Amino acid sequence: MLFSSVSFIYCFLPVFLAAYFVVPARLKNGVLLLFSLIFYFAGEPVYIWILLLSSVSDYLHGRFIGSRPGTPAARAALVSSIAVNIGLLSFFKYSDFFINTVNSLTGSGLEPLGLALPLGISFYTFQTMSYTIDVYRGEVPAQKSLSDFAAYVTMFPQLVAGPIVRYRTVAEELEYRKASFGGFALGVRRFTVGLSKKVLLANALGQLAEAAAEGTAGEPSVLLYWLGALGFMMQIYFDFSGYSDMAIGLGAMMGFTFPENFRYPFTARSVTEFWKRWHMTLGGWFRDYVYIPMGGNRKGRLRWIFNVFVVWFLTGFWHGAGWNFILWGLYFAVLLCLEKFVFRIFLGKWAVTDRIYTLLVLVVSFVIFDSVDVAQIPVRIKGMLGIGSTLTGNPAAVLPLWNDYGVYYLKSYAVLLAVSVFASTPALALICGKLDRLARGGSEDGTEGTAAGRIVGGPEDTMELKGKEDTKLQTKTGRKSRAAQVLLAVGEPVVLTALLLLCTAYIVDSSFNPFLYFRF
Amino acid sequence: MREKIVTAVFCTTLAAVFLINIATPDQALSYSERRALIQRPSFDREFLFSGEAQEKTEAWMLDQFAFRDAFRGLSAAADLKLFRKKDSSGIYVIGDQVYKMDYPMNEQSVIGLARKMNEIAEMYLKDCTTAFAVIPDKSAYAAKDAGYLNYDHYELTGLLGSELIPEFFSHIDLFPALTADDYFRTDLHWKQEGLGQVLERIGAFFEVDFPAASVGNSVEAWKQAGYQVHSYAPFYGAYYGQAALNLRPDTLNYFSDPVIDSLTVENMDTQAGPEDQVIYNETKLGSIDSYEVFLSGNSPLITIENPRSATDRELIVFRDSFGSSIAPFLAEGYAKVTLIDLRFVGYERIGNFVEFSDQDVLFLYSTGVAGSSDMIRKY
Repeated sequence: MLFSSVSFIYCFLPVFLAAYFVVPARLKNGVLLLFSLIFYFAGEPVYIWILLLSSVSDYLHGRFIGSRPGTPAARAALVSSIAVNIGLLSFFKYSDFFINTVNSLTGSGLEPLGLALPLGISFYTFQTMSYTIDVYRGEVPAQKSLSDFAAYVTMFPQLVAGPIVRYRTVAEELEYRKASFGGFALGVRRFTVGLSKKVLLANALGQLAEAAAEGTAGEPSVLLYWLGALGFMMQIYFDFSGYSDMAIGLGAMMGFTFPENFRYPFTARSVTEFWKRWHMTLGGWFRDYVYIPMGGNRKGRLRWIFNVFVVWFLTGFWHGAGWNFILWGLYFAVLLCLEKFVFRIFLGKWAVTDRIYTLLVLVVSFVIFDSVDVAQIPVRIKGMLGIGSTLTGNPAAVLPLWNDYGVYYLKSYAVLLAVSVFASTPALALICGKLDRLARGGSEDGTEGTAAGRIVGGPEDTMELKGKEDTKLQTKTGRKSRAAQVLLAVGEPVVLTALLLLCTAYIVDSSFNPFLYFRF
Repeated sequence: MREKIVTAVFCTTLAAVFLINIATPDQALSYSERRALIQRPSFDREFLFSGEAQEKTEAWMLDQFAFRDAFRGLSAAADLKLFRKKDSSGIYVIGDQVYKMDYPMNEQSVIGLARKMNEIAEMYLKDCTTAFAVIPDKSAYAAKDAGYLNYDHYELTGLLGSELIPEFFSHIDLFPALTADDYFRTDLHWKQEGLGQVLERIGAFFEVDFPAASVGNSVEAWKQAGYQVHSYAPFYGAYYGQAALNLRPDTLNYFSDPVIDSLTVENMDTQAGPEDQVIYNETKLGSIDSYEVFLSGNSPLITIENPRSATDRELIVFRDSFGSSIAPFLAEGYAKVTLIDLRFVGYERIGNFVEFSDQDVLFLYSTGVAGSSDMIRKY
């Protein structure tokens, strides 16, 4: 079930919220589990047993490991748990990739299995692995209640497309959490903003990328190749960060605090910084469960380079069973090494050049990511450089810089691109944060006091805002602004409702509504 | 307090939309979109385990969503006014005319159409006088100047002509005979009142005097030429629903005179009833597609006989839906007109129903068919 569907927003969600808030606290996890299974079953009736198998397996493994801390038996159980999860993931996600690779290397005629990828398997296997590893390390106690553990694994907000919520992040909230108007309102804001990112921006950018791809096949120009690349890069950002926002928002409505997954990644000044802002929960997972156990940067330069390549190979491979995804990961490994040893000469000196460099290498990375096969990558990159023509078949031909087709789509999507660029910066969070603090008289009361700032960004952005702006505002104003209070009290619900209804209008009117990260 | 307001407004919105949708009965048809709407699936075991339950349920809910037209209008308005997109799902408005993006030209389809026309000519038309005419899409008259993507109409006719066997086919150029105003504002089709010059050009080629040739493109001009005017409003064209904007609907005019009133129609569609054996089927007015007033809409084979004809000449027209509205005026110049729509009958079979001898033959297709020639059936 998609969050950006009318069946979810206007059927599943209201019924779930009503049931969830009607039952007493002790039954809330049960309601969450029941609705999560319905949510999953609606889209994946056949493979729901894999989800249940994974839940039961890791629950039992966790109990076993937790009851024998530090013993060889616990270690064996950990290996077993990881083997089950990696086994499930490998079988369903990678078996055809391996078969095709063997076929192409050896000329054998093994038949691909043609299995459909179970929804969300890349996410929930990583979550449950983190649980058993953390139990083994003694960082969290094993969960005693199977239903509570199953509620964690199957929790519908983050089940199919993340963020990757580790058990230890929500362990306490699984036992006890308190829903509040503040938390619920925060959830509404995040959900609505995420839905808007997905429906108003990502889907339209996807149409631009699609139109550009069609155009490059018939009337290629440098402009079209760039529009296609930029359109896809922005689409995947708003698609995935929109989904994460919705997940975080839904969690907040129930009283959960899910980890942030994005922090304005396109404002990064290096690739190293980009990966601290993009898909942060995946990056954190690989850091804590692969990179650091391998020695991180503590075992010398060569070992560090090796570790980086392993982690980024795995990161690329996690995104998809294709060579372009592996190349994508290794591309970042090379860039991270270059930034560490070579590019540091110029990186960090001029913000403008840093950002231009970062955005350029990111555009290329998403061309690699988006390409249907490896052969398409050089064609598209050469197209962006003005070399080659798919029409004449002459790889050395020079493409026109622009043509009618490219100019039309540039004009048609100019406002959307401008809005998207604006929305990928913290500017709106800054404005909302200022208004919020004006309304509250510059008060500092944690989540409540920074709620508006959190509409479009994560807590780290809020921290940045606090540091840079709040102090000034507090000392300047020191008292509540009546105008800001009225503006927010009236304006915020109006704007959020308008966005929700506008998204509904686009959903009702559109059939173009794929979630890119559902395929991972 | 603000948190309570945000929570209350959100929950009320969800609950209200949920309840309104439950309370609103399902509709069978959408008149603005001119299509049947998806009905409630049967939520039985087979359906639930099919793996398509979610997709089909969503499709049903989207089709039956309360105030669907208003939401679609909001989406289109936001595309065009808020995001300033030049088109919304390929639909755009210039002045009060609605257009659909007709770009790029599907060259392979045009070549495919030519191949099929050549086969038909070799099978049936050796003794006929044959011409082809391509009805321009109305965007051909306005798109370029307004900055929309469009291909040159003559590129298409040139390509088609170059692929046709020259001994069989001559070209009747219709582009100069029409303007954007000769088409419905909310529909792709041409209006009857805009056909005077088209008839003149066809008549000039086949050396036939059509009474309606050269009549000006206003209702007043047709009245003065002796035609009785019948009007139907509001006419919601195909683009009206696709645009989903608050547009002014069209008025559909159709014309008759004593000759047209005397024409006899034989509609050979197996579904056709007695009410479909007429030139103007007024029972179709107010249906999903009021344009079907002309010869009752799509039919594989229709013959029109003119008992008042001063000649025994016959015309065979291979046509699409545009042919329905021009047919009455063509029939005024011939003893018999046969209309063949190869989207609904294969040309391998058409010889079983039509006798080809020395008739005049006109291939009259819109650019829409030229761009999707797979629709033309061989079998």
